[in-house]
Amino acid sequence: MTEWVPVLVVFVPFLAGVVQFMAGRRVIAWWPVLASVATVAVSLWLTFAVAAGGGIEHFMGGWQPPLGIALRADGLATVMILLTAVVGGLVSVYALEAHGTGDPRASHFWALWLMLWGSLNALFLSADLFNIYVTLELVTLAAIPLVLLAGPEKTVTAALRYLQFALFGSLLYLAGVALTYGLAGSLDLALVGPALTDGGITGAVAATCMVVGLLVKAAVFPFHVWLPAAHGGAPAAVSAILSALVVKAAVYLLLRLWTGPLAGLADGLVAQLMGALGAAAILYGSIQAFRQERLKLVVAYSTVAQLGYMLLFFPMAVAQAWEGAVYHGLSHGVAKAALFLAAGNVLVYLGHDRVRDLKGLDRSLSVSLLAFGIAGVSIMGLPPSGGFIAKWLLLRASLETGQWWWAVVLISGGLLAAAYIFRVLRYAFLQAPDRPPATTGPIPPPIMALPATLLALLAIALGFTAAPLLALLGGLPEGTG
Amino acid sequence: MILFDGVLALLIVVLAWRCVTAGDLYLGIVVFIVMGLMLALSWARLDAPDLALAEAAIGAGLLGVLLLSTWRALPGHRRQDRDHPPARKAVRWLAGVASVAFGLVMAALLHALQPDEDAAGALALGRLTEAGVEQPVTAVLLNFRSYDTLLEMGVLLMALIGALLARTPLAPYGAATDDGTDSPLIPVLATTFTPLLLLVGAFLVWAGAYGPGGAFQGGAVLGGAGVVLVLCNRLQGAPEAGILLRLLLVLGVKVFILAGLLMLPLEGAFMAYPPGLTYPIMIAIEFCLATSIAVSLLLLFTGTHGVRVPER
Amino acid sequence: MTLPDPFALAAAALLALGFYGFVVQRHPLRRLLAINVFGNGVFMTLILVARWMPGGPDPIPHAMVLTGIVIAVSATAMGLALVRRDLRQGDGKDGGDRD
Repeated sequence: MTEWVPVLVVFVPFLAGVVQFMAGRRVIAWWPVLASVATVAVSLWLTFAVAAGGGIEHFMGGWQPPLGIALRADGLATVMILLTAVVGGLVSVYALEAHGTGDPRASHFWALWLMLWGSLNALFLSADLFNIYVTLELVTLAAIPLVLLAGPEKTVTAALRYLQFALFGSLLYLAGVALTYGLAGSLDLALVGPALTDGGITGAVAATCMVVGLLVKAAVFPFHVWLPAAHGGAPAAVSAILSALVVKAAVYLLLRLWTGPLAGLADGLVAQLMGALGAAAILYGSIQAFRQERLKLVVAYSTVAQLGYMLLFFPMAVAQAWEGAVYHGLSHGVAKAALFLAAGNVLVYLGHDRVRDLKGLDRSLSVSLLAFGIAGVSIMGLPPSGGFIAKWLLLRASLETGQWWWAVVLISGGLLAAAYIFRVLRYAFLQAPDRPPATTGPIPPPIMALPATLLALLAIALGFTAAPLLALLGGLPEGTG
Repeated sequence: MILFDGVLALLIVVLAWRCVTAGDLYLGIVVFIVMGLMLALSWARLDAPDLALAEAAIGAGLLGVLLLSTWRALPGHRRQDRDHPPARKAVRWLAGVASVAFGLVMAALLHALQPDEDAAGALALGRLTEAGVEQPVTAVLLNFRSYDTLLEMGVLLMALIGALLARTPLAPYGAATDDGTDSPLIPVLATTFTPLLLLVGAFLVWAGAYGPGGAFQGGAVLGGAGVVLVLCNRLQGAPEAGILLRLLLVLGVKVFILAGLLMLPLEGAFMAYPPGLTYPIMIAIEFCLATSIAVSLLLLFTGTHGVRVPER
Repeated sequence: MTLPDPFALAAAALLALGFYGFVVQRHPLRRLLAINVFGNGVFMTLILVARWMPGGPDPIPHAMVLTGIVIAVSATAMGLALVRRDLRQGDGKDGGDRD
């Protein structure tokens, strides 16, 4: 039975999404609940199975690589699936209200989101270079229509931009895959490594195409231009999914390829360059976040910055950097989802999200604002929180490898994050209201406020649960560094 | 033949150049379609008749129709570059130099590339008898790497949802009522040509087991038959889809997944076909896929949730 | 191989031209065209790899191209729907190529 779990983790949500699309509004009240619960359940099953018995492999169609495609649930894939289950589950609770019976497009939301959930799990489990291309496209083509749900008239320009960059990025990746197949005669992640290492300049160009394509998809500075408008304009539940999970999927692939098939090619200079991109993203994204006038754009630019931390793994490439980068992915995912949901509640209540006009929300939106503040602690990297653990690990890695300049980046990134989070909180809490806010919407019900709070509390809880999660992740894959 | 290949390759490059840089957008689209046809020709020369068929039917044919209909729907001033001027001269030069360098590197690499004889493809050719069909590409698509094909159907479905969401609140774009509807060719097209297309499409799906063809090529031709009917006003877009149409839309992906999951307890692996039943299962899946592809492509063309027969 | 393979040169040229068009063009429809030119370059590369395998043609790159064509056309079709929407409604509003 255990060897079936990876298949179920992909196809339970995926099939549920297809059924939702087919049945439409008839099943809107109960089908999404059932599907989300089932998906979380199989994801937890996978987590416990991997934690107890180690990695699981499943050969699709019974054909072993290099002929067929394998699904591999190793530590890294499993923690990402767990993150998706936690964030996805809580966002689903939020969406039950936000995209429930009252929303005419609810059926589309649930069909797309459930298929996206399955696609993300498929991407994390995939052990085949070409299959990864297909799952990348699945994730993108599910994400873009979700952005449109905010009302096509508002977000169509952002969605179009997102599509162009995503499409070009994945074709660039595919070009690299084509060269790799020419060199190695295989697509399996575990088999192509030696041929790429011995491939000379062809191997290097193939690796470059794949890495740059993924950097575009991951919205890493300077390819971030499509992200803020798309993430800032989407409905809150969608923004949370996009920022916490979808862009992270591309960074995940960078980590996976770099420590797997590309391990033999990793060059010190290239690794430093990747780190420099990460540092630039941290500084640029944080400064932009501080300058934004709209709350959701603050959070969106914060994503640009936070993704940068994960890139700091590449120049350091030691066990602590590996753990730190992945742990940062987890804690940022949880905290960022909380921030977006909280910001969404502000938007529901006020009808706008202009940072300067947030005054006097502390009474009516206390729970959501509290969630924003708590999640902010993790984003800033203050103890006790998941963000702190991640930055601490990265900091120790930078000292261990003697690359002190990354420590400087880490500390300034934390200070800048504090600046943009406190700027929002200052407007929301500290300024006495000169007049009551001209509200246009209802106070979001608890079912919309609680998921944000829970996610924020989880971001704090991650500060105490590092040991089991890092044990599940396992050490740095061999042959890296 | 080397002369023919050389001329064909040169033609493709010139067309691509014109497509990317044409002053007029309409010209760019037309050149793109012609380039697609030339590519199909070249792929036929490169021992890839399946792909030549697919490129001609989907890459040049259907995409061409979509490109032209989008162009026609744009307001006049939006067809020009005025609001979206190309990048500045300095950027253009920089991009030019970079792309020439990129092209030269890729050309050199491609000439140095020598695939092994122990590639996965050789394995696939060697184990063709276990796959249930004679045609290697179909064996890979529906058996060895059927998982890719399944997910690809998901991509098609989501692209359709996205296109519908983007277009829904605009005035429905039904049949082409503005021009050509009284042409004497219309009845001929609708009554003679469409059944022929349906026949060819179905044949292509079936033929995929033995020779060039398959679900995608056949499905595209079937979808094309639908497009002809819409253009002839025998079929038009409808704002709502009935459950039957939706069932057809998801038929491919659903049958694929359910068949795959059923094999899990029976054969121990997702989509591991039981020996002896491989061929019938694959043909059944192929026809389901082709149906879904045809309906999806038709709806991508009409841009509506459903289709209906117009009242007369 | 003494003479350069004309189709290998064409594949490289398609990649280069697609890249050039993507960087230089700003009109969304032209960008989609450029992306598809690039994609065709990738597909041509895969077809050449398939052809060069001794005992080939290799069916696996062929299957990859077929999948790739369908994905590219699906994504482009969605892009075209977005272009149609974007350019019809946004009068006076620049797409904003600055961020």
